Amino acid sequence: MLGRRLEIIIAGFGGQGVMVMGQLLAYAAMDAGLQVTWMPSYGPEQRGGTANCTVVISTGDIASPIVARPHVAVAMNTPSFEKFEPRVVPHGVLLVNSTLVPERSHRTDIDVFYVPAVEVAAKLGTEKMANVVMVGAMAAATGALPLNALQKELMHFFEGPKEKLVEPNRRAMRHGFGLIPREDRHGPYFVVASAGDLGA
Amino acid sequence: MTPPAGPSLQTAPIVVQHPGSWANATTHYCPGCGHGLIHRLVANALDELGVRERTVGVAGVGCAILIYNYLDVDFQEVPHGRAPAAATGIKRARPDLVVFTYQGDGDLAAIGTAEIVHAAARSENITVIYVNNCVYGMTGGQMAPTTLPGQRSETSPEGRDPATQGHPIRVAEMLATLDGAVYLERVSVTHPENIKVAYRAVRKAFTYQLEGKGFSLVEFLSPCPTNWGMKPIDAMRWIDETVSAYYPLGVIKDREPVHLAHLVQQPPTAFREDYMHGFRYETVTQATEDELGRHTRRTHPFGRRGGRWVSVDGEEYRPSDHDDSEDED
Amino acid sequence: MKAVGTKAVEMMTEVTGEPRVPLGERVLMKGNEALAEAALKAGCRAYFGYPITPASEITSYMARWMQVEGGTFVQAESEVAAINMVFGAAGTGTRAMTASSSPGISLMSEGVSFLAAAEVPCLIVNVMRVGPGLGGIQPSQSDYFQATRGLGHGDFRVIVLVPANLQEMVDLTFEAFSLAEKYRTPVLMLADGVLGQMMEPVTFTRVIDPASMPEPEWATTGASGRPKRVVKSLYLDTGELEEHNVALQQKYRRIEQAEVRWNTYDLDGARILLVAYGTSARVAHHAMELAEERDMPVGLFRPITVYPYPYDALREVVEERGIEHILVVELSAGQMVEDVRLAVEGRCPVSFFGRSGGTIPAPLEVLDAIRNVAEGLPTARAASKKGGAS
Repeated sequence: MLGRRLEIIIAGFGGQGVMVMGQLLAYAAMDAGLQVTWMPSYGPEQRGGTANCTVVISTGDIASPIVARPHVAVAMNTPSFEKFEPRVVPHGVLLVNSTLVPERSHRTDIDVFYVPAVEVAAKLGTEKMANVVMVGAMAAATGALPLNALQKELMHFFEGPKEKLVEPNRRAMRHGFGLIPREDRHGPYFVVASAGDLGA
Repeated sequence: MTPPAGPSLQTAPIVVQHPGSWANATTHYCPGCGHGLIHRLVANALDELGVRERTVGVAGVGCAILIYNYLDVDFQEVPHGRAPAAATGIKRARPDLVVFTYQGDGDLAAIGTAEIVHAAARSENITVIYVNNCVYGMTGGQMAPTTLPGQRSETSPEGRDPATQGHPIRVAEMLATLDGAVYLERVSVTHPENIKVAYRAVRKAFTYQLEGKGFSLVEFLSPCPTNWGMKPIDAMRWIDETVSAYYPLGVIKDREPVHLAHLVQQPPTAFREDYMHGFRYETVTQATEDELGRHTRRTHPFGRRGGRWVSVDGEEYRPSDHDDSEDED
Repeated sequence: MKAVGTKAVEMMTEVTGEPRVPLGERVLMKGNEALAEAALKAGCRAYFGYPITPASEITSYMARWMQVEGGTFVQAESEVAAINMVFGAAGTGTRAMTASSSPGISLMSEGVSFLAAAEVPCLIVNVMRVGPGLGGIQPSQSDYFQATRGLGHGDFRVIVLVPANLQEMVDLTFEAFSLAEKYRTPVLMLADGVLGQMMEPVTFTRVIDPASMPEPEWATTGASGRPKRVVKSLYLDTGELEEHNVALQQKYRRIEQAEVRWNTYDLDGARILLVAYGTSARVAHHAMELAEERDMPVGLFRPITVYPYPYDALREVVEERGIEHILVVELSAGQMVEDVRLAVEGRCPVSFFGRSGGTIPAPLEVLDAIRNVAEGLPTARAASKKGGAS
């Protein structure tokens, strides 16, 4: 049986860390006992062009890891905005990296959040953390996964000598979360009673 | 492995016998072929080094593919040209085994060029027995990558013309440019003295493998009387006088840094020297069928009637005595 | 076998202080890496490969970990060399494998023929990309014909496994080595770019120590205290060669009897049957759920082996369930559909939906195709899953 699903596409330039954004979600979903698939675009387009990854999270088995019309899209650059903004399903959520994307969506059937991720990340120390800021904002806007669960997964990406970067990134993610006004935040998308119960 | 003998011979001292690594089999090779002799040298070396029981041979495709019937060691028979790759797999998976390939010039120098080059570049700790007879034997005498300029074959009926059919490949020298190639020697089996040298080369190549030194290759200049259209004795003479002129005998590399110097310092024959000094091969297109008659063709592997060597200023190259002697046959 | 694998555990501990991928835990892994890890855990101790998108991670993973496990890794100069290195290593009785993607598999086909003829067991992985020619790097299932029919010259087959998710791919990797050795045949894992590149949680449940496996009685390991062995494919005597071919065919019949694998989904009340494998089966499965929500009577049949193909199983499903129409879904211009037609022998119409060029169809596209089929059913208006014919 297919369960409750959340389909997310994250897109941007190669080097903006969009693959990591998807993997953060995937790790957190797995640890929450959910089913998850992470599917990258691959090949030359990873090298500086547009890159994207698709994350599907579900309470049941995931049939297709391929998504044409996502529930949630994250556009880290303008080409991604142009490509995925029209594809978000009605009542879906679009997050836009407004520091780099001047465009505005004209759709009225979706919730659009303009997140100055790069600007915020720069203020916190380095623009490199823009992706993590955006993950925090996405957690707030969609309720996909709890903030602390996502923060916990940062350790996978900063091992060994890079471990000291975990704390600044935790902070960046929390800042991102805070960028979404309280009244716009989404409740938990998945009712995770206890980890492991929902895997089947 | 003693030959069948009557009671009176049982007590007689053994003067000569098959090597222990020789399966008691009769080869299918043509009279005057070099393979049987070279097989025996390999078998002797395996015997002498006491490694028969941990040896795996890899048979390339060609006349000698059936070597697996003649040597009493484990064998793999693999696709054409791929023996160095298969040997790599065997040796890497089981470094305790002694691994050698046995390949002809079509197998190694044409279809298997990539495999031999990269096995040498990786310095795979294997031994390659490379048999160069300047012709495709099994398929019936077609041109090989090693066929000499001017040499006639089924697919170079007018004699190999480097202008359209390319130049022969000197495998040992080519591989000598690779840091991974440790020991490369070219030998022939035309005389007892040459055979002794050849045996020492084979044994050394296997010894290097046992010592873990890396890639070694022994290139044999070997006769193919059938496809050269010669009597066996003439084939041997042709190797001594002409083939080894193009493919100089000797150690090409022995752990030392690459040295191709001997090629330049000691141009072994007039032919080679002339070739290197600006002579080119010119096909004589007006040659008549009569001139290229079967008799001529069979006794003139060098194909002088099909073409001639000329220098840049049009001077025809006069082959030395041995070439002229062909006409007397 | 004793030459490899013995140092595995201590070396691994030395390097990482703990097992690389622990047993019994859900871990999030990329398909290519999960497959490589599964092969290592299944006792594979020889890997030879040449990088190609979208299979490269298998080669990279093996480069990183094979030697830690006490095995051997060589980045070959070509796929041609890689498959022959596999020949050599597997010929010594070592569990050996290679992995590539479509154009590379074409280059290997000569070697596969020799492996099949010489009856050398090994695992070959094809993470399919779209062709023909260089084509592109996007996922595809367009090598089905090649895998099931033309993986080389001569009368031979290789067992072809088609996983649809990463856990199945991991489990089938263990299976592949067992099948290869049981039948002395190459086994092909036919995955695609989606399965190779995606991440999904997997669980590893066992490790096979290659040192525990006996040396095969045919392997070339040095003729010590036994007659020499020859691993070969040449038979110049026509009588002997025919015997060899007949023996191979008998083996294939045994495989066809014993090793057919498939799965079915939601057959109760189904009147339309989707048939799909691998990634397209995932898309089809999703489309089936969407169709069921719309009261269309749809089921799914998913081959897990495509050689041997589940001809009988599929025919029985059609007969016993009264299937009225089959829709085959593939990431190709229609290849497996020919086997489906062979299976049902005209018992019901067989339609095809596929995308080629590297495009993965969305479940909604497949749903449209299902809807078209449903509208063509004789009693379309009455058709509903619960009340449908059984």
